[in-house]
Amino acid sequence: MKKIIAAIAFTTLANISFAQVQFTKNGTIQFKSTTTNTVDKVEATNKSAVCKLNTATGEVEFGILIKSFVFTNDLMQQHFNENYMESDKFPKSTFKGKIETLSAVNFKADGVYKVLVQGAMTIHGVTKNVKVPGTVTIKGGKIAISSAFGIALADYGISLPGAERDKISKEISTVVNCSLQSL
Amino acid sequence: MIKKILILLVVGAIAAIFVYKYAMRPVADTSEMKPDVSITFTDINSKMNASDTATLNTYTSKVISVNGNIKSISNEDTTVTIIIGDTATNNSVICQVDSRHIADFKSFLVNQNATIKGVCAGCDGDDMGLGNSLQLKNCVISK
Repeated sequence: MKKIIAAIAFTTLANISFAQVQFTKNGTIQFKSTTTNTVDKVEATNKSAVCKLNTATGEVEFGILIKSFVFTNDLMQQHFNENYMESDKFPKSTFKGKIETLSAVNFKADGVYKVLVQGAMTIHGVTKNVKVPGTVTIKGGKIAISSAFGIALADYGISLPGAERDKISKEISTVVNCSLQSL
Repeated sequence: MIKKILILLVVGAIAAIFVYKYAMRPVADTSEMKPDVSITFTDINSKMNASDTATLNTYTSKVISVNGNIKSISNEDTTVTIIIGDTATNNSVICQVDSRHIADFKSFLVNQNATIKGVCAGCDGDDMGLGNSLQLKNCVISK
């Protein structure tokens, strides 16, 4: 009898811990350069972002392969990978951090919760501690996280050749959207 | 003299058109390209389980055709992402469908066997305990 109770307790605890970990393998990261000195749109989307969130601790991680960014313009894609991001040398960007205002989020109640996320962002081989605003949306038991922030190219050692300096803004607007599921 | 100026102007205009077309060319349509590698998800999964991501990373920037079962289909805004895999593993192949060919995938269903061709963006290792993923973009149906 004791063994049965222990087994039930273990299974219940295991299920709770699994639900605490939410993830996606097709999160969306979009970036846009907002300068008006070019007729081309300098923007790209990556829909293969891997994201993991622990709803109990607020720990959140992202991983994206740079070459997974999709452009409409081939030359822009080439310059992005070969000249700016050097994606052969630095194939992946990551973020590892925590939702600082986790107590403001009730994962059991539908709602839109504004949060602050802090952590280590690594781009182009350079790691910086960042604090960005985010939103956790709970709807019908499903969790979605989103964020919009700027990335200063110089902070991550990304330099632009002279001809491109006027066409690409020094700070890139970045938007993150991930619909999560239980692990 | 005027004839020379006119010739220069015409040559200059033609050169400008070529430069513009080169600079503004769209990303290549994968449907018009033959795959460099044809592989099954079973083979990819075996390599991932054997920690042979180095071999999978040799496919980066190449056109690869992958056959396997569709684990999930994500339709968001005007984009489609298909994950090839199976329930026995967290390893997967993530396919970003080319926006020019989204209509071709309308009839695709989860658990269906499919062969999808795309440009390999690399193999993302299992840093988060979510399995390895081979990532493809500009994906089309492989015929």
